[in-house]
Amino acid sequence: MKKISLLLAVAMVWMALASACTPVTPGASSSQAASGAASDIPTVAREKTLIFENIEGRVSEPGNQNPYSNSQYLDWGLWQANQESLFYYNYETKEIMPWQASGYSYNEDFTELTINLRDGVKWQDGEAFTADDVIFTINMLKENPELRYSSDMNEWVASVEKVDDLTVKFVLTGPKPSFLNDYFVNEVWDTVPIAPEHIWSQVEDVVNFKNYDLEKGLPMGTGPYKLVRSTETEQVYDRCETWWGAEIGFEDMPEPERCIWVTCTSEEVRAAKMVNNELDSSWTMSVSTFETAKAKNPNIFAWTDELPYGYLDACPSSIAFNNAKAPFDDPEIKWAIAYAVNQQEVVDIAAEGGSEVALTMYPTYQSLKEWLDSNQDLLDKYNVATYDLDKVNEIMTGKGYTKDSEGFWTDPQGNRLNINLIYRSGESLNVKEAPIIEQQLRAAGFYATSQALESAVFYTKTYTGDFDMCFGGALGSVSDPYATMDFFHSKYYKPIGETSDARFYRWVNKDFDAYVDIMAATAPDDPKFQEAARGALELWLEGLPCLPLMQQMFIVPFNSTYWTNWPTSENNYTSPTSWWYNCNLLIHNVHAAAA
Amino acid sequence: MSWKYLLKRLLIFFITILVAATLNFLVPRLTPQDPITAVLGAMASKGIVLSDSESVVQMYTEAFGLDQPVIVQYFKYLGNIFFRFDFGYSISYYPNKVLPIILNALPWTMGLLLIGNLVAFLIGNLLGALCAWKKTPRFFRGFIYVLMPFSTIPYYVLALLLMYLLAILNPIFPISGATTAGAAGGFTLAHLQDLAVHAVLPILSVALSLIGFWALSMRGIMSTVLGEDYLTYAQARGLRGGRIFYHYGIKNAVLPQYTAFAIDLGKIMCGSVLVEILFNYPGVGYVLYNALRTADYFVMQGVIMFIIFTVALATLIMDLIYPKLDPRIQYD
Repeated sequence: MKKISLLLAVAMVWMALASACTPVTPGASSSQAASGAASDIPTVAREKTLIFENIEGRVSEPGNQNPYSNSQYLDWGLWQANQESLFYYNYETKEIMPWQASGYSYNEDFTELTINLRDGVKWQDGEAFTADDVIFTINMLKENPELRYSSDMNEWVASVEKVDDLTVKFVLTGPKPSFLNDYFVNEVWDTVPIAPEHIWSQVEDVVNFKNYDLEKGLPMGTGPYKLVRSTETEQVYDRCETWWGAEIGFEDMPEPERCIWVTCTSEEVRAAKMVNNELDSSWTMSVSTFETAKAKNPNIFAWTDELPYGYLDACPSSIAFNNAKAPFDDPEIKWAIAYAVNQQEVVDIAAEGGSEVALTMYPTYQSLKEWLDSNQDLLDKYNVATYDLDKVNEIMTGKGYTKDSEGFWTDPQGNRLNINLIYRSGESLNVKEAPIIEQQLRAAGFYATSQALESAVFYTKTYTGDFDMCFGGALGSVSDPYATMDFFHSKYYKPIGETSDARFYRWVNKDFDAYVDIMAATAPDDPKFQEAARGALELWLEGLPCLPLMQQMFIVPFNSTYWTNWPTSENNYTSPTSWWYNCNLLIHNVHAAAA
Repeated sequence: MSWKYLLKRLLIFFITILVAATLNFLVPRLTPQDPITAVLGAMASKGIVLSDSESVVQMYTEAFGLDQPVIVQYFKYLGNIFFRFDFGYSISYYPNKVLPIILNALPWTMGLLLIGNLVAFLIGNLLGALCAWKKTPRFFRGFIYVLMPFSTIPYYVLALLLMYLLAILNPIFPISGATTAGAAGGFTLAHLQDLAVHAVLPILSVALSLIGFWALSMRGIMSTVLGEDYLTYAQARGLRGGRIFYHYGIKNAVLPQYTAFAIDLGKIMCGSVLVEILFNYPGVGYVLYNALRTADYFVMQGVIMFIIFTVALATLIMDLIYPKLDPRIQYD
């Protein structure tokens, strides 16, 4: 009896602790705000609630909503529901959509950018969104090197001036036609969020500022939703009935009264929650999981009704060579490896047919597809998707390699050519691709092995040049080819042993650099840009610092049980990516399902 | 218990903590991973490519003191832990501090594993004792053989099984999470019920995997105790069966189990990573797992220090209270 009482006592104490010191009054007190404690909130009906998956899996410190911390990926609702961007990029229409801003213009040589702000935009506390907020934000970033975007703003912004309350002029340190797109147009993931000057100017330590106090309305955004609860597994946003967009007739008030981001932690749990209607949209699924979930719940669908189901991601899957390490510094050897890889087989097995072969590092979004189509002759001449073992033999024997008794290539000194392909253990596509490519390379005579590494080890090896080949992706271009090309510029070259960053390719080609420098300083629609882009593409294909494999198709499931008008290939008003800033557009467009 | 023994025991406790803290400091630094590079990599995977990553690397290295000699880092680490209970900043989640990250996660882990272990301990020991007791009906004694297979199944496999049977195939319990998304919070009956319902499957997966172990070991100990003279004497005195079973049988047989339980309780701190991941419980196990993956030295050190401290403390407490549990034990 005593022991049962002990058990009950422990259970009661735990539940009291686990209700996380919840205050009785709505909103958290400032001391509890610092810890991100769960707050008491009113109940909102499920049919008025839009539930997304937080793809990060867990929020390590829910009481920190500072969007300028380098480690903060606030894709659990803050970007999508609370903050807004000056501009959004629509992948489908190729438009730059003004939102907080109403327009922009560059000077002739792209050394000045003027941004016009939209009249009537307000912060959630009613204060006007003005040029003062923009100027304050940029100067704050420049003055605090620990903040995200600080190094970028210091590199590119000489000064930022107020022309009037609704007009800001950036004076750049040099010509940069991509400045607006890189920082203020939400193309992929996030954008530079503008801070409310009337709040942040009172903060002494912006680096350690948590930006979280529900009673004071923090985090403060201009978006239509306010944060009402933040825990490790749940972020809850309630609609702000005084949202500026509805007031001035810019957009209708979004229908969902509440938006929630919850964590799922595995594909099986994600699928189960979608089937049980506990989620309205989730992170990606494999083809087989999606088909199983769809069979159990016919309300589940994705971008397309048929294979590949998925939406094109901005990062094609590819294999990066260590271009500073022999023999991967030899373009012929790299092309031999390219001829040994059968990309179509990788697509058929690893992606279950739900993708297509990539011929370059570019996702085939509309504007990029048009550019690639205009350079089809180069893609035909340097076709990385050619699978030809005879060509492999021709190249390798031409370089003096012979096959040993086990059929693997050895150099003239008798050393076997070993290739170790490394990848991050959490990348589900790479996990499936690696053994296929390993087998293909072995069949072609390359002694290949593949190795899964935890994130920290993977990045340490790749960034310090301690690898042969690895899975990687140059995330950059979505509308014009410059950003991806810039990834391969030799200005980022670091000798093996020194720490590089995401631009770890260590490929040096001065002619290529010259083309990229031209692209950096000219507008994409300028003929000089187009000519330089073509020249860069040809050199890139010739040198092959990376082997493109396949386009990444993200199957993003939606559930129409409670909400309709999701974006699809037939209804492509925006991309289906709920973890990017532009999910804002999706929230504005969903409608409650008919009763 | 003499003061001399108490002081000696406390000294051992502190030396244990010191040695463990030293190992805790050294081991992560022997691995082939650079935490600052890991941060850059994590940022890049989210599309954040810094224009001047070199200066950011330098800044982080200085901020975390990683540019200082290892011996200096070591003494600063010891000083911060023992005098300020400060584990510093998380590298992966800078400028978040390590302690709040761990403290946020702690109640969930403690609740989940404390209750799971207690349920397993109580039910397991009771079943084991009943299995050894001659007057227990035969069919009940066979019950232990039903529970034993669960002990051979890894708890995470049990968790998947329970999730499939009781949350997906038959949606009796929630699939995952600690509470219903968007539910009203607060210390209310509805919220507590919600917490309890969400806790059933995680606790069950932990408890079921441990019950067989406790039952088997208790059955063995009980069989020995039942042969003791004092039990025979109690029966001869005509005491009721239930009284003999509980006061003379279980109370003596369970003594060694307390020691094992105390050590188990200390290990609670490390959490049950896979259960927490599967059921999306925001506990310490997941914090540690993430820290290991991202080479977040300071979070790793913080969590491991908590584990070390609680295991050592649990053992110390058990040592000190053992004479109360078993008056035959005396310390000089």
